[in-house]
Amino acid sequence: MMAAAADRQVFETAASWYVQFQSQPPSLAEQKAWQMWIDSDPAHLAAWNQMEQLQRHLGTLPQDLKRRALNSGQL
Amino acid sequence: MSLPAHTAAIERIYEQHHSWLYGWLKGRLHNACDAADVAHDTFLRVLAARNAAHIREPRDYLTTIARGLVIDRYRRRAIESAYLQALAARPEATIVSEEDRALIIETLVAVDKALTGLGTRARQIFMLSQVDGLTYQQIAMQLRVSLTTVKKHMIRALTECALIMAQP
Repeated sequence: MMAAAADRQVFETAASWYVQFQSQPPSLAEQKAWQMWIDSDPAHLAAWNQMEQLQRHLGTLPQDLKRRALNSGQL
Repeated sequence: MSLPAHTAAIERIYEQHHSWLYGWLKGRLHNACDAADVAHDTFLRVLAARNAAHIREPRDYLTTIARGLVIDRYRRRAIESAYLQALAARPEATIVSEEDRALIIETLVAVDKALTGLGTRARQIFMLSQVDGLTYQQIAMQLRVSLTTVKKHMIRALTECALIMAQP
C-alpha cells in the first residue's frame, strides 16, 4: 500500500512538470529544477518516461480515431 | 500475513471454488476459453493481493474480482474493434505494425480506464486537450474555468493514466 501511495506521488509530480511545460516554455530555473528532480531518483525518470510514452502514443493517433476508440469504451 | 499461510489459503480456495467460478463465468461469457482465462486471471489477482487467509466469503470475493475483469475485457474489445474499424476506414493506406498496434491499444485501454474513474469535468478537459488538441488556455476559455483548474484536472488525469499504464 505504501508503494502505491509513493508511486502516485511520483506520477503526480511528473504530471505536474509535464502540464507546466505544456502550459508555457520553462524558464532556465525550472529546467534546472526539473533536471534535479529527474536525476534524484530512477523512479522519477521512469515516471517521466511514462508521461512521454503516453503523449507519444496519443499524439500520433489521428483525432477521429482517438475519439471513436475512447467513446466506444464509455459504457 | 506469512507467505505459506497465504499460499495454503489460495490452494484451498482454488480447490474448493475454481470449478464453481469457471462455471459461473461460462454462464456469463458463453465461451469456455474466455471463462477459463478470466478464472485464471482472477486467481492471479488473489495471489497478488496477499490476503487469502483473511477471505471470509471466497465466492463473493472471487465473483467481485471476476466481474471487474469481465468488464475490462468487454471494454478492451470495444476499444480494439473501434480502433481497428477506424483504421480500416481511413482513406490513405495506413500501415501500423503489429507491435505499434498493440501498444496503441494498450494506451487507449489505459486512458479509457483512467477516464472512467475521473469526474465529468476532468474527462472533458482531458478530451479537449488530448483529442481536440486545444491549449489549456483555450480550454479554460471554452469551459469558463480558470487556467489553474484546467491544469489541476490535467495533472489528475495524466496521473491516473500513468498509474494504470505502469501496472504489470
